[in-house]
This record gives sequence, C-alpha cells and structure tokens, in this order.
Amino acid sequence: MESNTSSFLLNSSTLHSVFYQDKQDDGIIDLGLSLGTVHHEAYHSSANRMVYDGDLMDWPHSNLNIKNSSTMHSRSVPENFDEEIEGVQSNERWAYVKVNMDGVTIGRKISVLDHGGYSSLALQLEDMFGSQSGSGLRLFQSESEYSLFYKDRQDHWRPVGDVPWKEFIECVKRLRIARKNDGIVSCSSRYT
Amino acid sequence: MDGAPYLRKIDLRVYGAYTQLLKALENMFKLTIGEYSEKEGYKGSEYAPTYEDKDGDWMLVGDVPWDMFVTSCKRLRIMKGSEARGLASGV
Repeated sequence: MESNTSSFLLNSSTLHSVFYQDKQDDGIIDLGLSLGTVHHEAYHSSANRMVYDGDLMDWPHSNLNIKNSSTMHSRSVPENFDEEIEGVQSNERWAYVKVNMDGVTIGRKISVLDHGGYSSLALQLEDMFGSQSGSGLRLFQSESEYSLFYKDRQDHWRPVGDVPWKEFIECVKRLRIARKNDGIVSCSSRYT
Repeated sequence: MDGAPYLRKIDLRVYGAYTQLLKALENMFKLTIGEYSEKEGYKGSEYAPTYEDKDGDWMLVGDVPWDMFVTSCKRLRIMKGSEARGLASGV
C-alpha cells in the first residue's frame, strides 16, 4: 500500500492484508485496527481509546465495505496534494474535512485527528461557528436548533454520533451543521 | 477583492507562509486583514480572506497547513462586511 494511503488509513500494513480477506468468514472482518499501534493515538485521551477490537463490525450502522478496496485506494492523496478529494486531505498527522453550516457561505476545515471524541469536536465547531447563531450551536443538545451530519465514504449523509468515534474518523469525509427544521428532512431523504 | 474594479493575479508559490501572503494582500489592496484565529477568524479586521478550492467550495484561508492550501487554492477572494460575519471580528 502506498505510504500516502497509509497516512490516513491507520496501521496500513495490517489493513492491506484485510482487503483480500474472504468476507464469508463468520461475517466478522477484523480491520486489524489494533489500536495500540495507531500512530495518531497521541491525539486521543486514553479515556476515548475505546478498544473495541472485534466489536467493530458488529456495529449495525457500519457501512465499511472492505471489499471496496478500490474505494479505499482511490482515497489516497498524493503527497503533493494535486488532487482535491472532497473532505479528506491528509498526511501522517492530520485529516482535514470541510465543515459547512447552513446559511453560511464560507466553510472551514478541521482536522478530525485533533480530537479524541465527539464532545471535543463539538467544542471546536462551537468556537468556529457559534457566533453565527445567537444562542450558539449547542450541538448534541436536544434543545439545540442545529444538528451535525457527516458524509461517509459511501457518500451517505449520517447523523454524527451514530458510530463509535474511532470508526467515525475513518469514514468521515465532510461535515454539515444543519438547521433542525430543514436540515433533518433534506438529509434523511438521502439515506439509503 | 470585494468592491475592487478589477482582479489581480498572484503566484502563491512566491510565498512561504500565510503571513507572507496576507501581508502581500494587505499591501496590494491597501487594507488590513488582521491575524488569523481559529476561533474568531481574522481579528482586528472587517475583511476575511477566502479561497475557492478545486471542488468549487469557498473556504476560509488559514485552516489547513500552507502547503496543503497552495495546492488546493484556485482563487482568492477578500470578503468584506456582512458576508464576512463570523469570519472577521471587526476593527
């Protein structure tokens, strides 16, 4: 595997061997994301290093189609960043995704690897976009006017928080802060 | 540059960092852009430097490492006023 793919797909050498694993094994595919050797783990607090080896593929919402190894490879970013791949520009130490907010023309970019979990992510987004709303974003709070969605590798829009953090950072391509009234309707219609 | 009568062209490769680029823009257009802050956007200014990337999306200048920015930036636009709301925190 090219080193530039490995830069984002952690533990690349192990992952490579998984691509060609027969998916008919008892339905469970070990991504080999043995998190102890993840080189970005310095960014995560130990409290968030939920080791769920073996549980990863049990997650019902997971759309990790490992057989789509071509999809994985197409996500590699050349070191000179010649191609703009929506969302994930990455190298060894970061993975930037675009964040847009309904009603705001200009987007921002954040590195998901800067965070150890969803609450940390919500804080950064509050910092960046909170001033756009009188009462702040208050993401993940039920009384909030806003919801956070992400586009995954299959280009599906999903609510942020539906999968464990470690899985999220592997598949998030883009983020959107949507107004609850219109955001949910438009996003859910794209769910398949 | 919002409000300017014509476009300017610059070569990003001439600059080594955001500070150099922003200084050049300030000189070119005779304005103050201020300092980048992840939280407040550009402090001390009513202007926000933005760029169009290869996907056609408009983003705030400064969020990503310089080298990454240079390869993805197709066009620059210095926004002013209400459109820059939340991206520039005033004078």
